[in-house]
Amino acid sequence: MSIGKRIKSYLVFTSLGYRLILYLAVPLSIVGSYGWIVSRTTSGSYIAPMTAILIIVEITADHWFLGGIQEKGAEKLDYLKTSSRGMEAMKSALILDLGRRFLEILAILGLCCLITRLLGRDVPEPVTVLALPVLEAYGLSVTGTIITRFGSYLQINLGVSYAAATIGVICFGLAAINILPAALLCLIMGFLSAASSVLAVKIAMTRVKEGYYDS
Amino acid sequence: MEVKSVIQGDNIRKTFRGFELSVPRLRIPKGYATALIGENGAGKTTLLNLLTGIRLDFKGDIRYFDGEEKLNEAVKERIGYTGPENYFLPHWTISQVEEISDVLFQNFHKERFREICEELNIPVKWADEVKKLSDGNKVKLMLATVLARDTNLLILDEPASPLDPLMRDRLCDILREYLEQGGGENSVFFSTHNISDMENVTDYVIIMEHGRIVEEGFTEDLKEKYVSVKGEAGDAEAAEKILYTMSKSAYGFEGICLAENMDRLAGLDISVEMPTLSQISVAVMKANTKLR
Repeated sequence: MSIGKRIKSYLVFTSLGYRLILYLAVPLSIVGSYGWIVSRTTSGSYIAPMTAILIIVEITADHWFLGGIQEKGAEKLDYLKTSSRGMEAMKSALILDLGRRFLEILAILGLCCLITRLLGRDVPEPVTVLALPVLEAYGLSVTGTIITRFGSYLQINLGVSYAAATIGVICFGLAAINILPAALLCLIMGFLSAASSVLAVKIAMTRVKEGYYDS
Repeated sequence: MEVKSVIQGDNIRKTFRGFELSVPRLRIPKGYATALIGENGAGKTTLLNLLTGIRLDFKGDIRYFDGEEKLNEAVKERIGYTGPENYFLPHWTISQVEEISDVLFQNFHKERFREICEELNIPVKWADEVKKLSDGNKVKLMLATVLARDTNLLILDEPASPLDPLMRDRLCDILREYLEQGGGENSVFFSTHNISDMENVTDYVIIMEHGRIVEEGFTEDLKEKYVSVKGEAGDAEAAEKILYTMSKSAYGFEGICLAENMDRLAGLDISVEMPTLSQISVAVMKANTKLR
């Protein structure tokens, strides 16, 4: 399947409204509000709450992407199964969503850091300022997504997203008061990101392929 | 006349939660419309799912297009399937259905898809979600996706059920046109409960009960094999022993008799006529059902 078809197969799983909100409204509102908050304060960085918001947004938004895809008995993909390209299209959509998620988190948090620096704030070393929040937002949101795809209720997505965001804030706190070094946390989050990425694709594909079998 | 098979299956077997589908020999004639008839739970959808590759857990051998090919990429391109439910993702819009069809099938034509949607009068906006469509419009949309492709075989699971009588008539026309356009290369295999409405497009019939094929044949042959019989109430008892199936009231009886047994009805005051496909199907199902 060509790259164009792969991108298309990802895009068709998302509605126009989903794309407008996730690709445009979310980045603009997070970066905008971050700039507004930072410009009205005299000190500090507000990356931690932005990371928490990103985790909540990503996990919640997945409800409109592939919510319930891993749910027991969810076999709503007969049309895909009638094509020999169906499973490939599904896998492409899953992988590209992870790529989109990582790049979007990186771009949003990167812009937030840039704003902090441009305003002359005292920005900590790069590991703490960008790597940790990006890996945290990505790793925790993907892990949360793996859990929420086993159900199709929005409330599940919201509940899991708040729990993941809370864990994210606690991690920032642990790093801030030096209980856990930021570098070690980065390592843990990096591992979580890699493992959850592999599992997110593998579990969803396994569940979808189980639809070919009754027993 | 030698008839080639668009699908030939041998020793197809599948068991699931106490249900057993067992079809030792399946032949779907090429170039014709074949109706799959049977009561609820007879195994029609299960069989269609196996033929389209939606279910893979079965034993036996299924080959396509003159028995030359197994279900592979090229064969899937040549088969158009519409299902009863769980077909599109519910949050897809019509526009997304068009896009995904273009991704999934090499031979999908967008222009043709739009024309067919217009022809079938799908009264919705392109941004409307599939889940918001009526059942009838969902079927029309499924038909549009398969008719917008270059296929040689349509496998349709109960396409007529959610449609209004006018659209059922149109569906028959569509299937006839599809067969004619193929010049003998196109075939249709559909399941239905609406036997009367679909009779004028049915060339060949397969009747299933309890996971087994209990009767099959060309419609015209079946209409020669079975005879519709009506008679007076006084003759009901004598006729009951001979007829294949019978229903009686205080005023008389009517039923279906095997043509080979007609001689045995000699002497009874009866009227006979050619049965409809619906009468034959109901009689065969009645004779084989577990329904009491």
